[in-house]
Amino acid sequence: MDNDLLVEIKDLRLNFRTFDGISKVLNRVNLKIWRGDILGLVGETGCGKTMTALSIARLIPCPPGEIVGGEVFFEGEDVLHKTDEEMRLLRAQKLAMIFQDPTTSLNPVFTIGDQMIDIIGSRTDTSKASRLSMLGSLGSLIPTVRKLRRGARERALEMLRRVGIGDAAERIDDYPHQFSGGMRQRVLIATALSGTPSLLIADEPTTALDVSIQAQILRLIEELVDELNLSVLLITHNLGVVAKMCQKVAVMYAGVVVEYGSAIDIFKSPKHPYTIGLMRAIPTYGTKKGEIKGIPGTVPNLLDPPRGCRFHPRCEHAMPRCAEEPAPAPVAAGPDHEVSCFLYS
Amino acid sequence: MGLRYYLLRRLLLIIPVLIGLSIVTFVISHMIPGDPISLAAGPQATAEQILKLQEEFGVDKPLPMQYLTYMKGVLRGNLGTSMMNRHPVSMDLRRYFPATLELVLVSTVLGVIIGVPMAMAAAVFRDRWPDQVSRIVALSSISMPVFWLGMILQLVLGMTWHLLPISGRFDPRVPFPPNVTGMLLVDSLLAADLESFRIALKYMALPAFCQALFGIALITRLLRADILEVMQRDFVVMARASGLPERVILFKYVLKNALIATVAMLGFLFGWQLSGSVMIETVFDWPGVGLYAVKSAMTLDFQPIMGITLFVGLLFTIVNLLVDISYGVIDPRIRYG
Repeated sequence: MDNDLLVEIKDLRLNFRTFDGISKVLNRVNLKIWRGDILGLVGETGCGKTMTALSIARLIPCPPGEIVGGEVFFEGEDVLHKTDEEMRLLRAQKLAMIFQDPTTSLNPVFTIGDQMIDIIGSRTDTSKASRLSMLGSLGSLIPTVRKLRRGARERALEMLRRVGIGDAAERIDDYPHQFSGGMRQRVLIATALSGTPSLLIADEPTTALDVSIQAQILRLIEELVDELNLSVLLITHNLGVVAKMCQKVAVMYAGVVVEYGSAIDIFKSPKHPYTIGLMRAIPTYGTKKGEIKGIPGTVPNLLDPPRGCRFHPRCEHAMPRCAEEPAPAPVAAGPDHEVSCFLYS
Repeated sequence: MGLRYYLLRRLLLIIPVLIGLSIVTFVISHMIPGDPISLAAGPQATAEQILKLQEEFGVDKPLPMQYLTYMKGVLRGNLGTSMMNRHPVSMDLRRYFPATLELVLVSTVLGVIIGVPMAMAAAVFRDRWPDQVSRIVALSSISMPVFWLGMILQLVLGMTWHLLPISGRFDPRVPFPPNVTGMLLVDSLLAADLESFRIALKYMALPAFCQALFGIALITRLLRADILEVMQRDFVVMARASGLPERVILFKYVLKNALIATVAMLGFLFGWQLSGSVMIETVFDWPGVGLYAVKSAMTLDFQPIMGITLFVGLLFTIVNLLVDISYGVIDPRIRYG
């Protein structure tokens, strides 16, 4: 396998059992993340961006979720067939994730130090990790645990200072509710990057933050990505952020990656009608009233998605075959530029 | 500063609660039809004897005066005198209360050590057999009348299989351990008397189990729901994504969050058991406050009834205060004030 390919998702299909039936959340998702790249994953709410990201870490709750087909590789290893313990170690050592809402992502009844020490300690084997965290600070009575805890605390402090919490030594024993939203996201970034990750999955890391803080957090992520030589999967609604930060872009619609390519290609010459619509919908300075164009229609219900291409009911170029034949496989539309549309196949 | 001020205010607040409680109980127990004096004096009493008794217990005075006299006594630690056996109520309380407290403590502990693991198993194996078993256990222990279950257990375990004693607190043929706390389990341990401890435990088993059932059911259902709710929260996903072992997530991260409501309920459960031990004490002839209260109520002996109500009320408010304080230990977001 190509050594520069960090993540490869092939034909991934994911269903969710709901009261109303089976929701086909992901339908043949294909995605590649190359080492050193920042890949932006964009699309509307509910199109499967987060589920795609979670599937790399095998964090989709099963049940109700069920992976019905496809493969996921991380550093050439088959993620879907690892044991739970192998998977836990992979998450602990290689994957870093930060989530949308820093307020609910931290446990309210433990100090951030306690949580960071537990997580830093979990990078080793399970029994050691549980001994370290279950005993809490009481564990310091046992010399080996004390040594582990002290080391983890040092690492936590170092990471907190690195993400811009200057008075880390005073703040580390505070509880999450004593921090502001931006600070909490910094704490989460520090926690996520305290190991030796090769991939950072950032799921709308700035959506829940004030606009003035968003830029700071994004700049911090950029710096750390450079410094730690990380690849990033950045999930966002914000095309401006994508344009500024990402080398590669994948566009998702209703559980399918419809277009994948370099950021320049996607922004300058989008191929898929959905991507084209998305780009037209960006307001720019000087746009006159009424000139912003949306995409007509609404997102399909995944319990009963349209046959054929899932976008065809809203597509202005729809042809008869779009509704009849199964969704098109991705075809090359240029070097490292793929599109899933019958217009190009 | 916050905690001390809060404690002081809460302790002061107990006073009006108890005054209100005393008025309500006083009025109710004096409105019960029937004449306790003639009951106490017996059927052959002369009018003169009855008059003398009325004077002795002050029931010839108007009700508000009686109340004030009673409360004056209470402030001096005198809870009045039983009309039936002429014992001071505080003396009888001291004798009966430890038995009830012991029963309630043991059954609360039982409720926790059976209820919490059952709730956790039910939540982790949701909709699989451990969940179904715990659901059946919880529902049947709530819906089975406890006196009926008590009698069945007495019949089967006591009379047929001779495994456990049927009633009472202790083997009448064995001398009691020296009285320190009045709780036999504690006293026998203090005296390092393991044989007495074993006997007391055998006598405790059935009543404590029956008393615990309600708590087991309540804790199982409440905590299961809370664990399931907490397991959906973002920080659990974040903990998994960070590679924390599942058992750390469940036993540390989820449980501490989920226990908050259960701890609040424990205080309530404890108070409910204190006053609700009547049924168990009657079935198992457990010489506690409940049995004492039943006997007093049957003879319209209102001094003990008042005394028991006030005492249990005081305990209940104190337990609730302790619960409120323990919140802050579990949940750092709680501020006292």
